[in-house]
Amino acid sequence: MRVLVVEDDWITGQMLTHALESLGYSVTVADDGEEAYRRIRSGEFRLVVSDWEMPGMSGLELCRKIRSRTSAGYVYVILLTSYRGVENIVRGLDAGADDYLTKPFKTDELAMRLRVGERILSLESRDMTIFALAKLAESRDSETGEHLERMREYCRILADELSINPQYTDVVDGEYVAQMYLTSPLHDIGKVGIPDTILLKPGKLTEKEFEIMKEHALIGGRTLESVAERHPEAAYLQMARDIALTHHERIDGTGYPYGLSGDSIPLCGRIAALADVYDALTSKRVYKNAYDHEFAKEYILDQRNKHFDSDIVDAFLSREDDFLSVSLKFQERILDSMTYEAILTTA
Amino acid sequence: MLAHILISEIAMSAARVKTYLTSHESTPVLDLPQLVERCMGDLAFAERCLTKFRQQLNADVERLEESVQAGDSFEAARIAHLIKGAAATVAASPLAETASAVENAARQGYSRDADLLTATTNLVEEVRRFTNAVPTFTKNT
Repeated sequence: MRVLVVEDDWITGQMLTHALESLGYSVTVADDGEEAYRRIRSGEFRLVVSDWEMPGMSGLELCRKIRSRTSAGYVYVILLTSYRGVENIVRGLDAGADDYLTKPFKTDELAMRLRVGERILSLESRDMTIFALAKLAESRDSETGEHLERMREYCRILADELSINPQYTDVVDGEYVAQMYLTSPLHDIGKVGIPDTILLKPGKLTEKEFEIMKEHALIGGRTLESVAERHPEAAYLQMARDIALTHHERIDGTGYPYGLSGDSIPLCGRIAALADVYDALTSKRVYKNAYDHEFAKEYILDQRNKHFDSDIVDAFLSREDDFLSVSLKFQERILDSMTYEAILTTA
Repeated sequence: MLAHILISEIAMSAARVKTYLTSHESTPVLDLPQLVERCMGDLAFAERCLTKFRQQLNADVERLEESVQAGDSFEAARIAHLIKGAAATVAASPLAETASAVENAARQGYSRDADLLTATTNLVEEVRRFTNAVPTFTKNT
């Protein structure tokens, strides 16, 4: 794995390089924060060991700069510092550092900190694998556009809003919000078990066809259940299972597959239900055109305590603007790609 | 550990290691096992680092003395910080400590001029002790 060492002192830079290379890393040294930032922006480095005090851009400023930009992959930063004490650790973490290494470094500590960094970065690879799997399952149904991308944004917004509702603070914390974002794209994974003639049918489904279509919730739920059973330590798999199984349940008990009602539907399933319906209404599908935000809002308000949990409807109302901006952001992207295709065709 | 085996090999040639580790005063100028460990047991690399460090040290101390004389405590603090970091990395703790004292005194600004001068004198003395002791290692390895 590649490591970027940011160190203005030549000796320390050389000794870190030597130690890291002996540990099997491929190392590049940047003399100052500006050069480091340029290299990080190129996307070559995801593991950075940076000195704190440097002329020009300090290690703290470098951390802040890295965190202020959105990037494809997470950059893990270890601050190298002779500063000790809780206050400085807090300052570093606040700036966005992931870990600390005190100067002069010890090789075993260096090795251990780098391993932690690699582990964290591999978790991100896990997140991307999950999303890729969900995209693959969805790929047969080409009409859904960027449904999964929008859906997970809506789920995150709703969970985030619930996290500040005193009634939910014990359950919905930062971890819950992150897991919701991670696992909600798997909600329709059971659709891989639905035949093309039904999944891709342009018109209305017959009653019999709809019964088969409904099975996607059970197929997805059971598939994820079998994995969750083998890995009980992975809480996100349980959430993924709950979402796949219950995102078509309704708070009044008229949903499927089990006709669960009220709190017997897991919270994540109740959140995913609203997010899924909002997106289905506001985007174009094989069988319908896109409705506007106001129409979707009206439907959601009408379905309070019928289809949807009233607390989640309230969360939606508080964050209506965020829903709208996600919906518009992705619409623009689709327009862009359409324009691009039009240019290609005429060229 | 490979480093420790290599160090005991050096220890066989007791005389030169003794000259190296202890100068005219009793405190060792640097902790050799710690340096070799940080160099992953690579003695040749440790030697190159020490040589480079000594060259850099002489230039840094010269600039430090200039800035102290010019009353530029900001620059003095910056250079002392650099010496402290590099010295700590090559396991020259007494040197790192004296450099740290200079850095602290310089960060107090002009009001503590006397402290800064004393600390700088101590550092120059420690640098001399260090440079006198280290060539033994450099020549013989």
